[in-house]
Amino acid sequence: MAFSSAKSARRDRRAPRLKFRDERIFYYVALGPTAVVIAFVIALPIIYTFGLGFFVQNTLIRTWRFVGLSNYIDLLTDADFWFAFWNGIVFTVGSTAVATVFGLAIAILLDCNFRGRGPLRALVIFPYIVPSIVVAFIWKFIFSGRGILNDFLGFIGAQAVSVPWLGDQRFAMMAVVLISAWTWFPFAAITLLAAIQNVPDSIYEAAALDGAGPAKRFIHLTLPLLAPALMVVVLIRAIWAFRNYDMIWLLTEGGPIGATEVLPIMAYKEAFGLFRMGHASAVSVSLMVFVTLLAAVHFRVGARLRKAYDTS
Amino acid sequence: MVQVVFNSVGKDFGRDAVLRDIEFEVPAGRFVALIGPSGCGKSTLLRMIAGLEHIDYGEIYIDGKAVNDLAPKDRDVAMVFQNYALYPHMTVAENMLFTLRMARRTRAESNDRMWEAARILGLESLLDRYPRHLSGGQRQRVAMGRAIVRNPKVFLFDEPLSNLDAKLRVQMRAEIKRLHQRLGTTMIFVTHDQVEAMTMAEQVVILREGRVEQVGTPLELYDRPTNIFVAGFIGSPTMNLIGGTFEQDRGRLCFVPRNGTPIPVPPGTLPGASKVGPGRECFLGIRPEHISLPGLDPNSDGGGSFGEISAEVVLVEVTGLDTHIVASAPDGEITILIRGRFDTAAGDRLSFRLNFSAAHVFDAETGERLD
Repeated sequence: MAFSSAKSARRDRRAPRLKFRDERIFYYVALGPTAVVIAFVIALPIIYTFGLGFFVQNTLIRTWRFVGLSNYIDLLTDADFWFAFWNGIVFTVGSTAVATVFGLAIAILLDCNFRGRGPLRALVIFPYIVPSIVVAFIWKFIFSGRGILNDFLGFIGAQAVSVPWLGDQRFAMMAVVLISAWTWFPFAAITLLAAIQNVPDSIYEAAALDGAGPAKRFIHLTLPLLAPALMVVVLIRAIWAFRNYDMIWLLTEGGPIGATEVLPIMAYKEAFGLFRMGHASAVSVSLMVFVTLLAAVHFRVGARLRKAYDTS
Repeated sequence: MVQVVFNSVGKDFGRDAVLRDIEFEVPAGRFVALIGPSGCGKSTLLRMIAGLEHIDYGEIYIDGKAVNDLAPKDRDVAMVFQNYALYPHMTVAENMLFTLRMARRTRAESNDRMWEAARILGLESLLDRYPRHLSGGQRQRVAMGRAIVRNPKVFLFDEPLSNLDAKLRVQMRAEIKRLHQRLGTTMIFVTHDQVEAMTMAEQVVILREGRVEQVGTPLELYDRPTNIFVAGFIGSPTMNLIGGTFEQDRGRLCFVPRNGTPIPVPPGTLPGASKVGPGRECFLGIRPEHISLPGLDPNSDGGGSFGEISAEVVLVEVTGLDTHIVASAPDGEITILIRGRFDTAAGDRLSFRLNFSAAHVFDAETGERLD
């Protein structure tokens, strides 16, 4: 009996090892094709772009010449690069700030109990789901020289300030920022609404009994308790805004006279306008460095905030 | 002096009335428990005192002033929530100081009050911790500290012990009671646990389906429940309710259980029995400790106020201190509580003595007490 039980114990011990080996093979088979696809679609282009930055290469005449870091040195001494970089900062900070503040206001509104809240919540999503091309056409129409906005300004007797908003060097960036914020605020609103609804009502009730009115509850409770969600919204938006290409291209193509030209548009123009692939790669790589830095901040700050403001 | 007065208070949620005609008074400094089954409206009533729910009908007076239209902060009440509702991003000290900051007290005064509360509740070593670093009992104490620093007219507790484990609950029960003795402030305490209500409160208000069933001291409720609901709700194990009628049998008043043999009622006991006409359905209510075994209970031999029944033991539960015997009576089962140990087993047939002088009679139709 003792022998047989020892034998069965040995069999038991062996069984999971066999199973484990089976599972490992299964994992390789299941994940392998995806890994290969990712390598080709994501890793290879990135490596290729990095490499391309060290060459002068013209897609038309197909010549390759190794130039070391000179593409990067050119860039860092190019006023247009720094101008596009600065534009990127203005666009990022502007559209993130507007979208977040407006999104927060809408989130607070949607958290209140009122008739028609359901339809309004559905309506708020609208700007987020409309394709960029449609958004761009709608707003181009509104902001054009003879658009609705100027009609309205004329109606209220302010013709003096009517300009072709997207075509005026002074206002183009502001208009692009506002339009971009309009497409993004639903994300902020929905994310922040979820965070607001995550805070137990009893905390607000306790504060009301503790003598805090609505404004003080907002400052002392809502804002600090939303800090982790706000940080997520701001950083994700900042990362997306800094590498935004489609909306700006559709609205202004970076114009007028470079007023709204940001790094992705510069890279596009270098590559497919001037066919300077080496330069375009150098712009792309520097863009990637900035965005990676933002993402690193996002993960570090996000983790710290989540820990600090754990409501459980 | 009366501190809180409820004058025909009512509330509707949509078309449903959750509270109707609530009328009672809480004297100053009293510890009052609001008790009732889930959904009876006890928490809603508490929240109406706090100003967190609108008072649809009637008035609530605090310290002689109608508070219907006052904001929560202007009612001078403090509340301890079921989930404690501590501010998660503030330390223990900041949690307690928040209300004083809102009231624009000086820093010195605020700190004095905060330290005083911390000392009373033994929180001195936890002041710079965040709520997430505290145990359930510690959070509970911080929630009380936050209430104490304000020195309010009325303390409200909304099932504050329900999130604690059994041992801690007993400990916090004593702590809250000590706190009440020390501060002498009016406290209104909501609970669904009748043991909590009985052990802590000086006055108990029983609610059912939005109505007050009975108001009284814990022993009044225990000894003279006004209806079957109160009789069944207060006391553990619960009161035995035996359905039957009162009949005259050869000139003697007898209680005739459904499907059972008549039990003679000793003269001078059960004053309610005389009000019940012959043949009218009623319930005889008798607490488990008022049923005894002949010869076992020293009190059961004196006097002639006992009725006797014979029943078969179905279940025996031993707590160590007491023995609970469940036996099959003519109309359902009855529970008997024996102080100390008693050796018996399911299937045994025993003779039990019902102490009629401690029994109650309830009308079967209305459920009201008869006497």
